Amino acid sequence: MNHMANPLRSGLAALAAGRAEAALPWLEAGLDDPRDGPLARLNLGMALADLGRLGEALPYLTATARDCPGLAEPRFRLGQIAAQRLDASAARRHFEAALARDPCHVMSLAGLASLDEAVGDTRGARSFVLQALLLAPDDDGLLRLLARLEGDPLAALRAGATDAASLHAAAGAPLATLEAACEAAPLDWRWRAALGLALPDPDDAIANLRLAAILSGDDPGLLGALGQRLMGQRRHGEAAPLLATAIAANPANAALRSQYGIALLRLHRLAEARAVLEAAVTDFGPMPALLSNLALALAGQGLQDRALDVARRIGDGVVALGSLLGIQPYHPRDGNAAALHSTACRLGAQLRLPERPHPPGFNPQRRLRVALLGAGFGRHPVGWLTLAGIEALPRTDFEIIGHSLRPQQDALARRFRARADQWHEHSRLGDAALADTIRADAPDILIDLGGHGEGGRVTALAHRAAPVQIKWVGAQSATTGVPGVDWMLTDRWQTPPGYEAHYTEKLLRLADGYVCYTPPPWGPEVGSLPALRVGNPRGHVTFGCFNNLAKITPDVLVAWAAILDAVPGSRLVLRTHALGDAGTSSDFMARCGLDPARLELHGYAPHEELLDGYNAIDIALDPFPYAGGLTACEALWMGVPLVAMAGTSFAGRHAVSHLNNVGLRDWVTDSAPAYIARAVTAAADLPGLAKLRAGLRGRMEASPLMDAPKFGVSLAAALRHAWRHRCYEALAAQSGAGKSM
Amino acid sequence: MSAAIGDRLLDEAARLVAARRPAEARPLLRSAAADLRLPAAWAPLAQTLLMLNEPEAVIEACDAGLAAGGDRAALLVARARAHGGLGRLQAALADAADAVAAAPRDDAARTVLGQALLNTGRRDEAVAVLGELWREAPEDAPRALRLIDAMLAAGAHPAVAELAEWLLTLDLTPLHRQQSLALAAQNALASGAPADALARARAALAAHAAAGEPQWVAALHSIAGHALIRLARHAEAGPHILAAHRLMPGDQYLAHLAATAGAAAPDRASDDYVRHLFDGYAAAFEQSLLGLGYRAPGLIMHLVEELLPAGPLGAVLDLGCGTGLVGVVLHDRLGNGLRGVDLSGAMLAEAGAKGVYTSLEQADIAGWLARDTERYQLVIAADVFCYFGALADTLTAIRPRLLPDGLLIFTVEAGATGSWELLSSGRYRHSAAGLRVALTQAGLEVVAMRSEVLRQENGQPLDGFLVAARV
Repeated sequence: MNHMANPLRSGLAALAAGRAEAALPWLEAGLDDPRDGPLARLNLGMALADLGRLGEALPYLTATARDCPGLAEPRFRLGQIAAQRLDASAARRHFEAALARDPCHVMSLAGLASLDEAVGDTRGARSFVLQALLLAPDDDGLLRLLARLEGDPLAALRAGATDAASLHAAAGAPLATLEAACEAAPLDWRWRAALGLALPDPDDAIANLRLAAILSGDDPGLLGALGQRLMGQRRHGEAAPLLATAIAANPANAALRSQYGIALLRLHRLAEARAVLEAAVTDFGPMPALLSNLALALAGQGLQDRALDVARRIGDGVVALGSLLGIQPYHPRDGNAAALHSTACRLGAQLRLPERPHPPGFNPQRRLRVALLGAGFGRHPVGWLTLAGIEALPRTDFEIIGHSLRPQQDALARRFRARADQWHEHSRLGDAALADTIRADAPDILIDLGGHGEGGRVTALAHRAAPVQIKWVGAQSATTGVPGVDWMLTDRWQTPPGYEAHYTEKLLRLADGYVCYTPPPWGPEVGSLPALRVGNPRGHVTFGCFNNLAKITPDVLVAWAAILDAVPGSRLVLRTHALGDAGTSSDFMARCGLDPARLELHGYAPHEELLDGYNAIDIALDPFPYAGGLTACEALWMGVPLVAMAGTSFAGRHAVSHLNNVGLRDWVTDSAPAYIARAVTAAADLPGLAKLRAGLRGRMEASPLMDAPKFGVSLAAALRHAWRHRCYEALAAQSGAGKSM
Repeated sequence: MSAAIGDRLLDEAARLVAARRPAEARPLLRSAAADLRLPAAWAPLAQTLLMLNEPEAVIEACDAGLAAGGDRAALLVARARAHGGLGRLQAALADAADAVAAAPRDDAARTVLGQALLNTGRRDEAVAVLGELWREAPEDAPRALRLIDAMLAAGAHPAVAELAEWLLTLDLTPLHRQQSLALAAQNALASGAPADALARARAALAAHAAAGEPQWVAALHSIAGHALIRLARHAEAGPHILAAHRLMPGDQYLAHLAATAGAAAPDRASDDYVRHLFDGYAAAFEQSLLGLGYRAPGLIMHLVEELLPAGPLGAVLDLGCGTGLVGVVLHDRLGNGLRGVDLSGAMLAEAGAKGVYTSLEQADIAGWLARDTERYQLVIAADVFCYFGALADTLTAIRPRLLPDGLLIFTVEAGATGSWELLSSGRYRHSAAGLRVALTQAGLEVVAMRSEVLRQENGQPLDGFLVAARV
């Protein structure tokens, strides 16, 4: 750094030229100057804040406020950051403190006006604006704000404004007015933008915002608005670059940065997602939306400890605990049935709602109306594991009403709709409204297929949408804890006798397995055992695991290292979406403790290719404590047996159920040493493996895991049992009531 | 500046159309065409509107685009498609011909011409045009499929079978494979081999039902259902028809058929149902009816001889004229014109080829009667009311079309327990009492109501009524 020149002066010059990034080293160099230090600190804080690095800016601004108690500017800046962090009361405090020091601080008056405007206090806002205008009568922003407060949302646009606040204000005008304005000035992007912001239909909004953005020459604010609308439609790939551009122009916007982090997360760009979300937490504070997505990114990278730490910081509310229940089952120690039960009960305790009576049912034999609620009615684990069973429910005895929380168009989705007697698509309904909507059809039984997972709405069941409510597949990793969920659909391996204590639901055990697997029509044939192929003369064994990284805990890695150690020449192939992310896979490689020469990592592959990947695997290694569900079924269907370790949570016992149902109970172990030993033993018996592989698909197809007609009978019996139980309860309640009268 | 923006709008719109988001491309193209006045934007706008199934808007955009100097051939092709979608077959043909004149080697123009020829009944010319396109790139599945479609309509069943078999030996996309299988099955059905059609449809369903495009899976179910109906296995047909209906809930034709499998019956067959039914069968229809001992034209002719014995007839209206069989039997008696009305363009093309009708109109009967102002000495509805349940409204609409001494003659299938009922064949039958009530409600007087065998169905005589009524 050149100390010959005055660093503060150079920094201020860069700031004045709008080059905040270039100002930083100069200002940092000026920090230690006894004379210029406080001013360098203030300006460094301001520069960092302008760059959206709010977390770094804060200490400098706080220090300046402390060291220069008479100065208004640091207080104002702290207020601005508080407002950006959506903390209105702190912002107000800081703005008032700034005005106490300098009653003529125009920006603090404007800040207070904006706070008042945001809560609908037009009078208060107007009074602050008028005070500010006395001091800065020509300020465009203040004039526009005043026009808005005077009740004419279009005044600012008519006067030529192009700023986001004016566009949003204009969007409050009647649609017909905006449409007429677009008609009159079709090439003026601002009217088109206001219309795009105003339109309620997402497709129309997106189309108009895109047109406005192009006409504007890619106004970053509009790109941000377009990106956010695309996120609402789950069009993450299109949204991500738009959000990135918008953030470059407006780095201190919490909503844009949160949405960008989510977009990256959904695109499986986990390392970037994590960096964006961690920076956002630093800059905007521990907002629940940031923490819950950060926890997902960390879990997705296989960092269960850190993910759980973050998830625990989200809070104690229902939504926060629901997020925690999405993370905790992966944790090597806290992902056990008892700990999950405890978290679920904390959640449930906040959902105690008055019981809403349903008409009593007294006819145990009649045709039942069964409602299904979920977001996975398509190519999704829920689809592959429930469709065949639902199709197999006899139409004469069961009417099906689908309540889908996410529109899907694939072949599985069509089969769901073909089996259903009625189909409803929902979006953005609150829990109570969703329950009311389901209740409107008067279903006898509601089956939840979403749980506390992404897109799941099991908490709506606390509002009693049906007299009998059942939890089945769909983030079915533990008890839901939700009052009003009467039953958990399970089997004797998922929840052996004695497991009742870990569930707030009653256990509704099916005769065999709790799911019925539908194989995809595009599945490849089962190949020969890789260890015995011509190209593998030494008979080296290939182990494989195609589960997501969230399930691969340090304990799993230790066990795998021991297995590779004990089986000379053996290799391990991992294949999951997250490993396609460069940052995530290099981080994994660095910490996994496995010999890189014996490790093969693959990212995303289309489903057929993924299944074909099993043709290179001799033995699958199931993770713990969160076992493979659909993944276990797919391995078995591709002829690959899996070594599993039984956990205690529901998620920890999926493979136990599937292996028992295909008659491979000797592949289930109960400890890490047994797990290692089982894998090593299996690897030593290649002829046995080859024989098992050759017959495994046929064996599975004939087993309860894929025998849809048999499963349909079992599911029908279980649903009938739950209904009969309800009839008898209703009858008992009525006869009890009769006695007391 | 605006040129750059224009390019951005066109590029972005092209990207959105490629990503199957035409609704989002539309405002960009409209702005480029109408606001920035880029002539090059009109053709993509018209094509986008076609994807959005808005034919009226397509025509408007094409008119504007042609006036503004947009891509003439592309705009004429788009307008031809839009006219075709609206059932304006002659206008479609004219535009398609103009498009080929503007760009004689343009594939899209020649394709749309081939389809327009097909739709106007000029099947041999259609096969020639589409055949030429196919020969230029024989392994291009869409070209082969379009040719198969035309040959199927032309009744060239052996040629269809041969081309479809060959096509299926190629490495096709799943969609093209499904289409080929469906057309091969359809061909078997149309060539009078329902058992073969059923086997083909079922094999294709076994291979493709799980991952197929819904409209083709629905088509296969529909073919299987029809084949089973032809084979008189009505109970087995039901599930196929219901499956097809569930996959294509908006298709009125399937809805109608599905209604016969249990749901509440509509009080007449939907226009879509009738049009599809006869468009599908036009070529083989006559032969199949004659082969079934179809007696209605003869019965009607005899009744006309009996009730209107002398001299040439005044104006005659043939409702649901189909391939024109009634026109043929009345040919010697016509004196003041014979007008035919039918929903099916393919049927009308057959009728036109007979050279008996003075005018032929493609319309639904109710809509036609509401518009028509002529009065006729004779109105005929041969085997038409079997697609209507409640008849009173239609009869009421016919009454003002009759001259004071005019006659209405029609046939219906007999045997309903109430006034009418919907059969699993998709047709309705009526009772004598119900007919009398409906005629009385319409202000018509029964002149004759005779029980007659209308034709053979599955080897059994099909009983019906031959009815004559006057004002």
